[in-house]
Amino acid sequence: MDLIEALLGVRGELLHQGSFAFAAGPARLVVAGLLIAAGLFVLVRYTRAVPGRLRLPLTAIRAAALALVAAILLHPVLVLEAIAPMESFVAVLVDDSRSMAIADQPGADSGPPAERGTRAGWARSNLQTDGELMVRLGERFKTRLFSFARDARRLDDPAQLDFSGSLTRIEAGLATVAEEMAGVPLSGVVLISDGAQTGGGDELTERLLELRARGIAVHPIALGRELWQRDVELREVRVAQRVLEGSALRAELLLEHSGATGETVEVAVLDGGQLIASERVELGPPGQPTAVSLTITPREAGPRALRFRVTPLEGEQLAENNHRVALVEVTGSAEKILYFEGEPRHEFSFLRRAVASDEALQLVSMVRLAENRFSRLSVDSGDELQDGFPSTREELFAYRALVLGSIEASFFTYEQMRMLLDFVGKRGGGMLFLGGGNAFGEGGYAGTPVDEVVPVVLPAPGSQGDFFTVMKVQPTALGRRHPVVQLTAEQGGEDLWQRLPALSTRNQVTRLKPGASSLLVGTGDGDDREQIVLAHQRYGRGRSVAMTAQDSWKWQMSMPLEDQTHELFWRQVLRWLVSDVPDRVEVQPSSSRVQVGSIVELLGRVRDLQFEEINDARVVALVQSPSGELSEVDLEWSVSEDGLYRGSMAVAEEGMHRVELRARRGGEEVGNAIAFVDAAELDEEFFRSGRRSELLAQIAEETGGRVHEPGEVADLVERLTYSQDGVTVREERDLWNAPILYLALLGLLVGEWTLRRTGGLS
Amino acid sequence: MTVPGGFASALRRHRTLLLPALLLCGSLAAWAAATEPWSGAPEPPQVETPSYEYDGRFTFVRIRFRPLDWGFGEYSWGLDLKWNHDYPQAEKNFSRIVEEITGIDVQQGTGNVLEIDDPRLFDYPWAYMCEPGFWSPTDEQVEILRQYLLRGGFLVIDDFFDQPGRSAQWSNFRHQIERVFPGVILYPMQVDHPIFRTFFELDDLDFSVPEMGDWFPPAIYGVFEDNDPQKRLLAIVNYNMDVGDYWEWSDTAFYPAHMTQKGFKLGINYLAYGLLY
Repeated sequence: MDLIEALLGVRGELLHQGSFAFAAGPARLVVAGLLIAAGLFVLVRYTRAVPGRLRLPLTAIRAAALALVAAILLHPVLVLEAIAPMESFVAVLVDDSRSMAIADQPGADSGPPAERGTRAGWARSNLQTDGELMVRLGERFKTRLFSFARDARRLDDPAQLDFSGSLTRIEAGLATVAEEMAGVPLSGVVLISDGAQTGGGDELTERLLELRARGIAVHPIALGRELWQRDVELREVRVAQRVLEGSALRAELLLEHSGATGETVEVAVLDGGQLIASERVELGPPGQPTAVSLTITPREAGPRALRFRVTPLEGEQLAENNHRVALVEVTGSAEKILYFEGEPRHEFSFLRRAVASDEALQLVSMVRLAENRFSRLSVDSGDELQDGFPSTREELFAYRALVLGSIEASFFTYEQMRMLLDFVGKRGGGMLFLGGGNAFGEGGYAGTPVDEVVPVVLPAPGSQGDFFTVMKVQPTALGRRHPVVQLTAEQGGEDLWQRLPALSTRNQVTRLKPGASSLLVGTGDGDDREQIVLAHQRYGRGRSVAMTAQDSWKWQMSMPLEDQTHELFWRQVLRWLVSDVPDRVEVQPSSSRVQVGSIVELLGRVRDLQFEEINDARVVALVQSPSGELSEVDLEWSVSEDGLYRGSMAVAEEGMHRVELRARRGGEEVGNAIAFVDAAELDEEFFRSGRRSELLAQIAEETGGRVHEPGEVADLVERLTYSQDGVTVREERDLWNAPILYLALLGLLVGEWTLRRTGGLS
Repeated sequence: MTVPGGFASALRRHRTLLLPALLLCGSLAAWAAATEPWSGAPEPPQVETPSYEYDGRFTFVRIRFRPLDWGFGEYSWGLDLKWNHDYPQAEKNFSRIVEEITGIDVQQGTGNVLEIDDPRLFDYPWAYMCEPGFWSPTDEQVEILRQYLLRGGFLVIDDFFDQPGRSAQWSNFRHQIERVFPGVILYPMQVDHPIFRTFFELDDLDFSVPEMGDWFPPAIYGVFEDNDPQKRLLAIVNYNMDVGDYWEWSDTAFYPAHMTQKGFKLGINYLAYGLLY
C-alpha cells in the first residue's frame, strides 16, 4: 500500500483512470445547505469577536474547516469503469515445468508434502477452488486455467499440473491463451511463473507484440528467488560435435555461482561412467562466469555422451544444475591428407613416420625427387597422383587436408594456385604450410593467390637475403591452453619445452595476419625478434596453419627413444587440420540431445565433387530408432540458401537415434552422411532456474501489465477489475471516508486552537 | 763378468714363487687388455677435418672410430686410419653428383667427420661408415648408435672385404653389430626392395668387378627395425664392396664407367631412402 492509497483509500493509478463527482442526494443537499448556512452565521459572529491582529488567519481557518465539512457532506466519489461482475474472463497461465519444483518459495506451506515450500506448492494452493487467487478472481471474473512448459494446454482442474515439463516456453503458453480466448472479453492474463525460460527468444517477442496489439495485458506473479545463497552452476559446455578416434579435443566450460567466491570445485568429464579428465578450479567473483578449458580424449569410436560434472558445494541448494551432457561423435575412419614435398629431406620421412601408426590418418605423400620426377607413397591405387600434383578441383578436393612442404610458388600454375585458395576457402579443407628453403616468402608466395590463405605475413620477394636462425621454441599464452600443443600431461608443460632441442628455420616470419593466432614462437641466440613457429587462422570455410621450423625431426632424434613428443605433436597437428572439415554431404540435427516426444529439425547440405552447392538433389534421411525401427524423412531444398535442405523427425523413443542422410541426383548417388540424436530426460530446467525478474518485467511492460509478488494477489485482482478490458460498468468509489479529509480537518482545528492560545484568547 | 749363481740358479732358488708371479702378471695383462686400450701404445694421429655448421641442409657425415688393431704393434699403415678410406674425395664427388641429379638440398664440400659419441651426430640422421672390419666401439658408443638408429637415423656401412675362405672382417662386424642390436638378423637384400628403386631403378645388385679379379663375392645386407624386413631399414651393409671407392675415383678412369655410375646410383638410392622412409 503506497502513501496515496493510505491517504485516499484508493490506489493512485485509479485516480488517473476515474473522474471525481459528488454523490449526495437531494435530502443530503438540503441538510448540507442548512449546515453551511448555520456555519456561516456562526463564522460571522465569531469574526467580530476576534481582535484585529488574529481576525484574518482565524477566520480563514474556520472557513476552510467549514468548507471541508461541507465537501464531506456532499459525498465525494471517484467514478470508475469497472469490470462487470462475471461478464469478463481472466486467463490464468501456470508454468508446469520442472523448475517449479525448486523449493525456494516462502509461504507455500499447504498442499502435498513434496510441494511444500516450492514454487509449485504456491501455485497449486492458490489455484484450488478455495485458494486466495481463485477466490478473489472468482468474485468478479470467469477464469480459465492453462498450463505450459514445452507446449501449452487448457486445464479443467489444477490437479492436472504435474510440474514435469523439461522446457519452459512462455511464448507457447501465451500463444495458446491468445488463440483459445479469442472472441471473448478478456480482462487480462495472470502468468504464474519463475520466468526461467529455456525456449527460444524471438518467438516470445513476436508473441508479446501480438498481445499488445490485441490489448491483452499479462500480469506475471513472479515465483522463486533470483539468486541462490549457495549454488554453483555449469552454465555452458562448448565442445566439437565430431572428433577423430584417439584425438584430444578441447571443451570450454563456463561456471557461475553465488556465495562461493574463492572456493575450489572439481570439474570432471566422464565417458561411459569412466573419468577421462578433471581439473580443480577456483571460482571467481559472483556474477562473473569462471571459464574452464579441459583437454579430453573420448575413449572409443561412435556417438559418445560425455558427462561434464562440477562437484557440489558444501550446503549447495540445487545440485541438478551441476552437470551437463554433450554428445560427441567419435569417428574411426581414416582422414586422407595429401603431403606434397618439394625436396627429399628428413622432415618428410620423420613426419610420415610420426603419424604412420595413427590409423585415423592416411598421409598420402608425394615428394619431388628431381625436376619433373616424383615419388608417391601411401597412395590407394596406381592411378592416384599419377600425373603429379592434382590439376583438377575434383582430384584435389578429395583430400581433407593438404600439407605443403618446401616447394616454390612457381611450381604451381595460376589455376593450381586458385585451386589451393578454394581448397581452404570453399572446400573447407585444412592446409598446413611447412618451413623450408622454398617455403613462405622465400618460396616466392608473397603476392600470389596462396598468400591470402597463409596465416602469417610473407616478406616481399627479394626483400631479404638467405635467412637461417636456430630458435628455442615456446608456447604462447594461447598455446599453453591449446590442445594441439599440449604435449605432456603436466600443466603447461614448461619443463618439456625447456628440454626439447632448439629448431631452425630458413623463413623469416615475425608477423601474423589480422585474425590469425600464434601457438608457438621461437627465440634465437641474440635475436630479439620472436619468430612465429606455429600459427593458424580460419580462412573461408577452412583453416590454415603455418609451421615455420624446418627440422621438427630434431625433437625425435634428440629425445630419448621412449619420448613421444614428436609423434604426439604431429598427430595432434594433423588431426586438428582435418577436424571440422566439411563433407560433401552433411546432416545436422537442430539438437543432438532432446526430450522424448520432441520434433528435431534436420538440416542437410549437399555439394558436388567441386563443392558447388546442389539444389536439385533428392535428399532422404533414414532414421533408425534405438529399437531398430526404420523410418524415412524427406528433406526439401530450403530455397533460402544454396545446398541447404530441411526436414524434421519425431523422436518417440528414449535412446540413441541414428540418422543417415542419402542424397541422389539424376539417379546417381551424390553421397551420404550420418548423425546421431540422443533422446533422454533433460535437466535444462535446472539451469538459470532462479527467478528471471527482468524477463517477467519485460513481458508485463510490453503488454501493459504489471509484475506482482506472490503476496500481492489482492492488488492484482483489483488491477484487473479496473483494467477497462472486457465488459465494464460504472462504479463509484467513496472518497468521503478518505483519511486525508479527516486529517486535514483535524489539522485545521489544531491550528486554530494553537493560534488562539498564542494570541491570548480563550 | 759372471754373476755368482746366475739367473738359472736364482730361478731355482725361488721356483716356488715363479708360478704365482706368472699368474699375477698374466692376470694384470688380461685385465688391462680387457678394460683399456693398450696404454703404452701411441694414440692414433689426430687428423684435422673441416667442420660444417648445421644449417638444415643435408650434410654428408662420416663416422670416425679408433681402428681395432691400433696400439698392438700391428699398426703400420701410416695415415691409413680405416675410417678415412676414400675421404674426402668421395664426399666431395658424391655431394656434387647428388646436387646435380636430385632435388636434395645438399651441403657441398667434405662433409662432417664425427665420432659416434659426438652429440652433433644426432643433427644428421644419415651417416656413412667404412671398414667396419676394424671397428670396435665402446659400450657407450654401442648404446648411442642403437639410440641413433632407432630414433630415426640411417647408417650406410661400406668397404670391407674377406678373401674367399676367410671371414675375419665379417666376423668383427657381425660381433660389433650384435652388440648394438643383440640377436640382429642381417638380411641379404634383394633388388626388389624399395631402397633399390627409391631414386634409380636398379636391375641387379651385381657389384663384382671382373676387371679386378672375381674372388670377392659382393653382397648387400640389411638391418631392419625389430628384425622385420617389412619395417624400416636402419642400416645397409655393403660387404665385399666399396661404393665409396667408386665415388672417390669417379673423376679418373680407375673403375669402369658403368661401375662408377652404378656406385652413384646405389649411393643416391641409399640417401633418398634415408630421406623418404
